[in-house]
Amino acid sequence: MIGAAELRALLPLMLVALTAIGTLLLAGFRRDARLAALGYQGGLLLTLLTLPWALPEQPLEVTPLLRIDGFFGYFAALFVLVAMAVGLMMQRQVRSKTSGERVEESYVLLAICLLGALVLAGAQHFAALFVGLELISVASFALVAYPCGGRPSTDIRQRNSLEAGLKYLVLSSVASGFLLFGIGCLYLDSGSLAFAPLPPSTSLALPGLALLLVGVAFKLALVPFHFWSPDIYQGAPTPVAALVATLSKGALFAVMLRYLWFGALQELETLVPAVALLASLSMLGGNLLALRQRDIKRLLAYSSIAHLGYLLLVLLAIGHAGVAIEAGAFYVLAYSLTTLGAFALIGCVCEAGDEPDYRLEAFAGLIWRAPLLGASLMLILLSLAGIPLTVGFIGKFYIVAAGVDAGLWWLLAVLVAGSAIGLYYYLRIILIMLAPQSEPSGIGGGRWLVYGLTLLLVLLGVYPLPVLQWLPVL
Amino acid sequence: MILVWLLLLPLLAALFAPQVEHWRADGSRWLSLTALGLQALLLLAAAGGGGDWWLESRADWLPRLGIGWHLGLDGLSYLLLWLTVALGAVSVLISWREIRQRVAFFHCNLMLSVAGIVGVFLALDLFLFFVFWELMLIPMVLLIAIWGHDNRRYAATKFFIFTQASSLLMLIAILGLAFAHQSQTGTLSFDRDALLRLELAPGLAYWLMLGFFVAFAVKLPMVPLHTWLPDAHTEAPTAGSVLLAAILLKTGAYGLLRFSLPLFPAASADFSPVAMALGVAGILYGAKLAFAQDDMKRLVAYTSVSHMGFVLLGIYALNGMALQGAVMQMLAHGFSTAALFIVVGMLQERWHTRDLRQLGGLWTQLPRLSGFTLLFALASLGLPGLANFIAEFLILAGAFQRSWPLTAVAALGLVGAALYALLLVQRGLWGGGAPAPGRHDCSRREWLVLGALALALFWFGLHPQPVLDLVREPLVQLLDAPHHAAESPPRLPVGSWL
Repeated sequence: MIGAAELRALLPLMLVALTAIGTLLLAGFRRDARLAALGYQGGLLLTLLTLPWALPEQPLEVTPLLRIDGFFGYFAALFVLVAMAVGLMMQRQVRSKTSGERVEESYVLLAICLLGALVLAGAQHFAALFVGLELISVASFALVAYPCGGRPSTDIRQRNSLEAGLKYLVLSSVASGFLLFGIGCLYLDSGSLAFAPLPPSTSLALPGLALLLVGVAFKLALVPFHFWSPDIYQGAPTPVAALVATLSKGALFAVMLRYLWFGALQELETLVPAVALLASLSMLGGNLLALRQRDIKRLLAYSSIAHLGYLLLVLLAIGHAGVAIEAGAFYVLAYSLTTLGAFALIGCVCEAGDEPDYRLEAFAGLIWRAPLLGASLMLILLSLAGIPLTVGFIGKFYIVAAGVDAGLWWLLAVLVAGSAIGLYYYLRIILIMLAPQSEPSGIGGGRWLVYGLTLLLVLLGVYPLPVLQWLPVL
Repeated sequence: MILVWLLLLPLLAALFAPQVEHWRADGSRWLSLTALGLQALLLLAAAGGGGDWWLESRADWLPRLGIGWHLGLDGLSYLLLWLTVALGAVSVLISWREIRQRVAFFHCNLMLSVAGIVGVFLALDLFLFFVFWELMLIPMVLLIAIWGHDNRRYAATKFFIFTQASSLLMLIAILGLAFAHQSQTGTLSFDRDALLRLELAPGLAYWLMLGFFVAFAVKLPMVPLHTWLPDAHTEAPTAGSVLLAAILLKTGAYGLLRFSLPLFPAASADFSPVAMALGVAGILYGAKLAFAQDDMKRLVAYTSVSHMGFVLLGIYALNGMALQGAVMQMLAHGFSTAALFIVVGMLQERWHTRDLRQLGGLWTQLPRLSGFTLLFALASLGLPGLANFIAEFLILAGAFQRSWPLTAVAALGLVGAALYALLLVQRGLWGGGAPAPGRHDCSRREWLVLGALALALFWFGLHPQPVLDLVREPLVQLLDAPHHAAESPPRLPVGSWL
């Protein structure tokens, strides 16, 4: 039953839902981008501030669907912060384009995405998993195709994002289909949709898990299910690309972490070779494909594929390594923070002119043009590469720790190889940035967001203790 | 507190370099020199402590993961810190005229790199060590990538990838040690003292040792992992080459001495024949390639490979005499190779070429500079009376007790050294065909730098005892670690020099 305690635990979800509705109503009564942004950020801030109060002392099951505990609290806080940062990027995007299109609804969609992510963070049941996932996906279709920077359908600039939106719709639905089929098989096998160990194996457990894995791999864009990802990153408005890269993937990863933690460990054993293969292919493939990219957004897409590959190591380490859950949780934070910084910087540098310029050469001489932004870019790239004193290093340290503890030596070897390849293209951007200045070009707004994210990235890299205290542990 | 300040001074200098430049054109140069001078004063103040560690600094960092802030100073790190400070100052002085663009940023990187190196020589917590180990690389990559010569991007990228990939292997090995500690005592720890007490299974120890060894061997560099070195050295600005050759390469040898040998005594003893053979291969291969170069800077770079081969041979001979020789060689190589790079840099500044085919007859035009070139080339070939001779003699004498055939082959390297050094002198200094007359000889600043380096080489060559005394205590500990004796009896008695 739902009593006062349960309602209190559900407060974050309700506040985010209220934010979505409130923003929608605001937009309905008064067309004012700033007001909508204010409503959105205010609602999220309130959610964040009441989160510590709302979290119960002991893990609390609210209906069979959701479980509100420290794990939920950590990821909820992270996702709310991510959504706030994406909102800020969206606001800047609107301010810099004066074409007068309606953007208020984007905040509604963002809030719905966040709601889906929070549901996933608390899900302990396949129904909640599917509801959360579809909340994110459906809102993302519209966001990817959102008319940022051009008038709908008439403007050539709009075509890319429409194409990306359609692609995302089709492929994401296919993935959902696989996922549903897998869930159906598992249900047939065990008679329950809750995250729990399956009964001694029958014939349907393995196909069910395999189909589930395929669906998840699609959504996380793991090699060889990654083909949609670079096109979406390239076509979608930059803030939305950041959202797809961080919030969607992070939330799905969180729910997989919880699923394996709560139940399917023994079942995973049969799938270990498949997951290991996906991980290795993603680590190597993502990094190799990124090598020759000339478009910064496509490059980030491939780099993110590689990062998700590193994260899969954690899934394999659950059950063997005590630090696995911690490692996964921290890496999602490190990856999200760094990726947000990268996209904020792209918005700031590449979209300064009338025509956005996403070539790597757009960064030429950045460090001499705008030293602080250049330094930020350098730190962001070093964090992606996992160099000390950035949050990316602590994340990679955790992943390697989980791998060592679980004895996944071969995958660690692949990780080293993948990282070595990755260094090449991260350094390539740094070298382009250090080149003598070619032509003076402007710097767009939104640099304070970049500075803020970079500062956080360094602070957490030097002294991550405040976050480490909140990490969920087994 | 002294240790913390040793680290903070270069960091502060790096931080304030851009500001200072607004006040005074060459302010950042003076700022760097001041920071290094203050460091030298601190080192003087720190001298002569007793006990295992002269000075220690401990604090909590990430207690949840067993990571602490732990610095310690002993004779070995004291010696290498002096080398760092001295050669750091030399780097600043010789870049006075060479670096004219983005001066503040140059000194920012230089000082950051120095800070990282100081940290490497002081850190006793493996996590902290790893952080410094990586920290010193990035500024060095930038030094090469921004102020380097024509092919700088390629060289910087290669250097970065080689060193980073190998250090990831070390990270895995470090974590392996930490988790071994957890399985034995229940807590994670990255502290060297705690890890020294571990009892590792032989197989695991061997693999972990290899993880450390690869990272250190790339930095050393050891054949066949040396290929980044000629490119990085050749393309780097002179100050970068000096920093690389004189100090950065020593961090690899230091890592072997400080971590690899004491943490894995038995595995290292098992591995030592391979390492010695690789060292000998490096000696001969480096000498042969140096002999074949036309580019003076590349020639000097390959002599580094050869000289550091001696260091590897000395370290893995695992006896007191050879270890002392290896430390001496680190010092001597630091001074002599840095000096050769400086001389090459000065020649290039005057003639705009380093190609030996276009140079020649310099002695008649630049007698003072040529005299220094001759001296440093002779030091490089190991002339008695100069520091390199002492070092190579000790290494060969120590290694002889361990394996006479390898030592005999290594001694051939001395012939190779004579060949390349004399060839450098003959092609560059003698003969005719000097490009153009009327170039100015050494300026007072250059004379000061080269003179000081020559003096150091003579001093350590004629009176090496203070250095040997300084490092004796740490090296004895390294060989006599209690568990070392327990797990594998030392195969040879500690050398009579100890």
